[in-house]
Amino acid sequence: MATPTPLREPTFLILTALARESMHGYGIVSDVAALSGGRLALRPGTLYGALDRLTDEGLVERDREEVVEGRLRRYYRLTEAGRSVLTAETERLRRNVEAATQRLRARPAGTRTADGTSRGPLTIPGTAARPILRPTGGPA
Amino acid sequence: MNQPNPAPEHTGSPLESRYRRLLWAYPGDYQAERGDEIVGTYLDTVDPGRRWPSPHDAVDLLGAGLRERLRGYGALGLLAALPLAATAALNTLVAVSAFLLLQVEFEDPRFARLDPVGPFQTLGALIWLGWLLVGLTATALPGAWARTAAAGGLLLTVAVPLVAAVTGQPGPPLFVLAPAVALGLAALALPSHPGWVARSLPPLTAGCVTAASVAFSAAENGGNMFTSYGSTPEMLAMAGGLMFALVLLVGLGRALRADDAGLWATLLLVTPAGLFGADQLGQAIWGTSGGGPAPTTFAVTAGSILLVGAALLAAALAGQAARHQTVRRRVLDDACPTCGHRPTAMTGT
Repeated sequence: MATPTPLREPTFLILTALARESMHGYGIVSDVAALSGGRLALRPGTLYGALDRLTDEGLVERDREEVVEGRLRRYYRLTEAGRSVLTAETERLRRNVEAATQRLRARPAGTRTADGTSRGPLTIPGTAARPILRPTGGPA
Repeated sequence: MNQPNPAPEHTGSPLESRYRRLLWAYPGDYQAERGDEIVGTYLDTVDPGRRWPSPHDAVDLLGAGLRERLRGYGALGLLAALPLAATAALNTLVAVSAFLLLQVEFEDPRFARLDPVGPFQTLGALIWLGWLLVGLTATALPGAWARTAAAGGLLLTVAVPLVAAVTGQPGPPLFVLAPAVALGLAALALPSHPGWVARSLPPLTAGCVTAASVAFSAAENGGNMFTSYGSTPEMLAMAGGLMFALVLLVGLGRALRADDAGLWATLLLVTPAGLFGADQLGQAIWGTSGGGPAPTTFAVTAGSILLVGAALLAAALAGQAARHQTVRRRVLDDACPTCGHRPTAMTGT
């Protein structure tokens, strides 16, 4: 199944968290935080809204329930459709990353910047003086 | 993976009760089905020793509850409409602010028989300068900053008349303030990631209104069409009508692509647009006394417009909910013609 539009980052990370094994709400929250390097902190209200939407879309389904120390744990798992969507989205992102990596590697070392200083190939634009743009038609 | 908090620490605690109270925004059956799970996950994640849900937790649960209710009505388009309505509201405020600053506040205060406030006729100039600043923020800064600026603009719109009343300085009249507050409330939902069109609109709108004002002043050749707030009700009613018509056009265009968010935005802006015409409507219904409707007359008219706006929104939600239920029932009743399988209702939805 192909995704009609790119997945939003929280949705992508929720599906990624469920890709290995079924998880309950707290597990998903923790895993999404770990996968995003602590940048994305899902709150339960938002998480269960997203899980409901993904369930409606057939990407996620309930797996099992258990009660641990009086607290209900409901586990969710990816469906086959969810796995296909995650695979397609991962492939799309991988192609983008590869294209960007190739472009960055192809940039000649020691390119001169607008202020005349020499910079290495991995200078990130916006964090320092912007590198001179390569003319159209140059090596990719 | 981090370990969740041990259950006995929070089970039956005041914190748990407070989280449960925040579930009221969810539909009753959803609370019964998912309440334990949501509250349990919250209790797993909170810092030890916490006694109250944080404001972010409250916003999360109230927002998620409202979203769940709208999902049950098949009316999620109403939430999708908020950024569009907010963008329209902000640009209308920018247009009205530029117009009132140039055509009223900078006019000779003798026309309005008021004691001037510095270079302006009234303290209202601060409100209009504030909304122009909000427009600039929406153009140049991230969406979250623009929303904060809109909250500041709304606060200014409410506070300035109070300051004017306390200090005895002249302030803008109620028929200008009421729609400005309504639009300010709508502007609180400005989009987090506005596109280039939304970013371009505030300066474009301010520029067009400024150019039109200058051209109008030149065409007047020394005449004074607009000299005080008392000479602006027709223009404000036109501004409200124009905003409504433009959003309706966008809504109809999006409806052709099976996107009902624009039509919901139109419905949300019925009340602010109506409030722009409240003064004119009040005069038409109850007549005038000394050049304008009495404050009580305006209050009754504005209150009626608020009620009508709320009733229209409630009727649209009820209609959408009924339609959604009918479609859902039909889907659940229909068996597959090939295998006879009947779809089951999705749990938790």
